[in-house]
Amino acid sequence: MSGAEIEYSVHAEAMTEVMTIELRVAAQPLDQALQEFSRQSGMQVIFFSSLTGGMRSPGVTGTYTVCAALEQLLAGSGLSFHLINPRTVGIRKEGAP
Amino acid sequence: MTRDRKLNRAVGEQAAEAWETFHGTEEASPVEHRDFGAWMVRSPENIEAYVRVSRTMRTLKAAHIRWPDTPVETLIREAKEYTEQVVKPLRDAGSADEQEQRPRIAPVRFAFAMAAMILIAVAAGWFVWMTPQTFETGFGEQRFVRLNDGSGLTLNTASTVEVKLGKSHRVIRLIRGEALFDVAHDAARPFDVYTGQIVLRAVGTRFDVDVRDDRTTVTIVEGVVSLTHGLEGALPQGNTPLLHASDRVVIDAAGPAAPQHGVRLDEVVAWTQQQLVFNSRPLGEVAEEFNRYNREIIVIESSELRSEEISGVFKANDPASFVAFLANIPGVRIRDDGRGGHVVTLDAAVESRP
Repeated sequence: MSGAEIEYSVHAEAMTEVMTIELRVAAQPLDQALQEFSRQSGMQVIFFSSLTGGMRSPGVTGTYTVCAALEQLLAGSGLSFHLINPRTVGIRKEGAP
Repeated sequence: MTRDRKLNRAVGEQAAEAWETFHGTEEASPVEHRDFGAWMVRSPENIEAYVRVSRTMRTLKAAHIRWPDTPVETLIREAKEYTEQVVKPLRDAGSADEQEQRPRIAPVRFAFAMAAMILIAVAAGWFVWMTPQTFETGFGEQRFVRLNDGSGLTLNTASTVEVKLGKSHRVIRLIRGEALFDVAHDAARPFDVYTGQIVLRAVGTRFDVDVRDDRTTVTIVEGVVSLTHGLEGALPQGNTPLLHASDRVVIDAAGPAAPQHGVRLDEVVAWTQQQLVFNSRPLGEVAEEFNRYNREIIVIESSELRSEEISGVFKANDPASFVAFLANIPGVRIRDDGRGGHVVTLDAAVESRP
């Protein structure tokens, strides 16, 4: 990752930690919960389908920052998220590069 | 005889009106029969117009006939049968005018032969008397159109439709691209969508038709739609499967595949919100989807990568974020194609991993 991209990424993270959004995502299969999160938050989401196979999400309801909401959605899944850019979230295995 | 002369518009309209009277309604009155007979013998052009209208309407009515794919001889035979059906009551009508009408039949039949000759030569349009309304979108463009019958038409990128709203039919031709149809309920006027070798008929429903080079995909969002495929004899009679909400049929050169059930509809209609929603879709198809909307073309060269399935939600006009995702995959290399696009490859070491 180049220097410029790192700065970009830090900026993105700052944004998503400050900005709060109102969410109402029910408990449901994780892949669908992530798509619902995308619809409500306006954030783009992408992940390899094999990662979420058979997993469920507890959902998230209330006012959250993007990061807090994603942590909640992914709770117990062994997955984590990273910001690809300010408007796009990637999901990957915890501890993956 | 001028081989390719256009029908006089007024004559075409009269013929269409006559067709409506005899086929679009339950009963035509004796007066209407008489007027029709008088009109028919007035000029060969009237007969020609009527035959052409009959042919066209017959084409629409009979699922197994599709102009221009059906041989002209078949169309003429069909049109002739129709014309005879109309002429017959004229003879059998027990009205006081019967004697007066009888002699008119012969000229009608004589002129019909002439009309049939013309028919072979003239390449008639579809609904000869009515100019279709055409709606188009350019590359990357989308458009919503509210039709006069209240139906909604959402056109996706690079699409063309022709619309004809008649008194007893609503006929749409999807020439290319993709459209989502929100059909206003009107049991008396079936809503027929023609594309390639299929006809979809709806009364009041919502469905998506996506025409690509090698296949057409039909997905029902709400209600019920009947699908008819193929030319005369290509399918057993009565093979018009009814499709329900969440059903999808893919039609390729070999014909329609078995319907898939339980399709995720959010993925189907997302494009109307300028979104791309993917549920376990191969990366190759995802790239193709982005390429439908953006000049920034993404080509994934690695077949292994192309078949990897992803899920997600994207703005259709944001291929850059998708490319950024690809760039994060270990072993993936992305180079510019020199025209603003991207070529995506996978390192050999990674490609051959177990």
